[in-house]
Amino acid sequence: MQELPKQAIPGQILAPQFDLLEPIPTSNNNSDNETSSNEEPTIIMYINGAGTKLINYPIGNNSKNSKEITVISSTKLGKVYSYDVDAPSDYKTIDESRKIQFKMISVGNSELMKQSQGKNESSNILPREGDVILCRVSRISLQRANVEILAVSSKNIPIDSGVGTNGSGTVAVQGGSGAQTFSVSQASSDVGETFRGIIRSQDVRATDRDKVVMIDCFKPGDIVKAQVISLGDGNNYYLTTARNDLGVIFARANNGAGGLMYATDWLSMTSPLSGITEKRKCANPF
Amino acid sequence: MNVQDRRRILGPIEAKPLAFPETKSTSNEETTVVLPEFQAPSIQTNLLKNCNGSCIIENENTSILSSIYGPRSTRSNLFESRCLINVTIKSAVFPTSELKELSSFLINVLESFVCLELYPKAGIDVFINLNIEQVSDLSWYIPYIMMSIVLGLVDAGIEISDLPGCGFNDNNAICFTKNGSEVIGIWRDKGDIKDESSFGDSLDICKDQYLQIKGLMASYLLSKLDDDKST
Repeated sequence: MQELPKQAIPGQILAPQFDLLEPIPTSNNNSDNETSSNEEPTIIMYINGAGTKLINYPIGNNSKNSKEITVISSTKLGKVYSYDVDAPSDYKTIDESRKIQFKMISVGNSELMKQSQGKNESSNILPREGDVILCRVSRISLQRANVEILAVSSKNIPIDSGVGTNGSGTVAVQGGSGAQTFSVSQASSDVGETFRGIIRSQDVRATDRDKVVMIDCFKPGDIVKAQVISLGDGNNYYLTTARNDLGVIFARANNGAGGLMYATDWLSMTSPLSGITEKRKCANPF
Repeated sequence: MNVQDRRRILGPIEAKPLAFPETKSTSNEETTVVLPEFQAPSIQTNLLKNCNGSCIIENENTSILSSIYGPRSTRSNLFESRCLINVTIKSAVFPTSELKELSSFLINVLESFVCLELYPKAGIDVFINLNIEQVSDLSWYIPYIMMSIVLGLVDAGIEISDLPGCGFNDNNAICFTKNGSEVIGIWRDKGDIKDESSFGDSLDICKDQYLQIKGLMASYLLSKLDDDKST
C-alpha cells in the first residue's frame, strides 16, 4: 500500500480504487493472538469524495499491451483528507472471505469538510436536493410563492454571488453563460441574478395540505428557511417548508412598512412596536 | 418578404464601379519580430476582489488577465444537467471576429476538462483581458491565455479533471491534456497543413512546451499551498 500524498493539485493521481494492505510482519513474537489476524491481507477500497474523481488510467507502455486501471484523481487544489467510511449502498460483496476496508478520499481546504468528514461538497455552492436554504419571497399567487435563493446552509457564498442583488458585478455584453438559452426580453425584465425557487401551496406544511391559503403563509419580502425537494425545471428549484424548523424567520409588518415581527405561535407573528399581528407559516425558532 | 429599395445604393443601371490601378506597396515585407516560442511568464492569482477566481500572466510584451465568475444562475428555460461555459475576450489589438472565433474554440477546450456535471443549472463566465503589444499572431498568445484560464479556474475552486496546457509552434497552437497523451484542441492562424511530417514535428514541440507549462503551473500551485500553510 502506498502512502497518500499530503496535498494535491488538479489532475494528480491520489490512489488506485483498490489497494492491498499487506500484513504487517510482527516483530514481537510474544503476542500470539495478533499473529493469526495479521496473516490475512486486507483490501482497501477507496471512494471518491469531494474534490476527487474516478478516472481510467492507462498503464503499460506499448499500445497493444496497455491496460486501464481505475484510479482516484484530484480535481482541486488543496489538502488530501481520508476517512474510514461504511460500505457504499450499491456495493455488493462478492467474496465473503475477503476483508475489505472502505476509505473516502477528499481534497479541499475548508474547515467545513473536516466537520462533515469529506461528504459535504462545501466548495460546490449550488443548492442540491435535501439542502436547507434561505430565500426571500419575491411574488405570491394562490398556488405558489416565488422566491430567490440567498444562501445555502453550510456552504460558502461565493464572492460574486447575487449580481444585481448584492451589488455590482460584471456581466458579459451578450448576457454571459445565460445568454446561450434565454431570450433577451426576459433578461432585461428581470433584475436579480440569483437562483430562483418555488414553494407550491401543497408543500407549505405537512398537515391540511390542500387547505393552505398562500397569503396567510408568506408575504413578499419575507425571509424564509426552506428545503430543496427537487432541482425543478430550468427556471426554478422546488422548495418545501413542511417541517417544524422551516418557514418564515424574518418578516416585517404592514407589507414591509412596519417593524420586524417575532413569531408568537406557529401561525402568527407580532410586531412589538405596534402590537400588530399578522399570519405567517413560522419556523420554530429554537 | 422584406424587399429593400436598393436603387440609391447601387446607382443607375449603367453605372460602373471605379477601378484604380494597383499600387505597389513601398515596404516589401512586414516587420515582424521573431519571438522565442515560449517565454516563462510571471504568474499571480487571486487579485480581483469581485470575482471568484482570477489570474494574471505576464511576460515582456503581454499581460493576460482572466477573471472567473460562477457557477451562477443562468436564466435558462430548459433544465440543464451540466453547466454552461461562456468565454469573453477583450482586446484592442485583434479584430472582434477573430476573438469570437477564439472564444468558441476555448469553450470547446474548456468543456473537455471542467467537471460540468457537478454544476447543474449553472453557468461559468470566463473573461479574458488581453493587454498586449501586437508582436505576433493570435496563436502565439493562446498558451498564455490557456494558462491564465486554468489557474483562474483553480483559484475559483471549480473542479477540473486535469491541468491542461497549450503549446505554440509555426502558426499552430495545440492544447494537450493527460500528460500529452490527448489533444483537446488545435488552433491554426492561417494556411493549410501542407505536409504531415512538419505538423508532426510541431506537435512534438508543442507537447514539450505543454509539459514545461504544466510543470510551471504545478510548481506555482504547490508553492501557493505552502504559502497558505505558513501564514
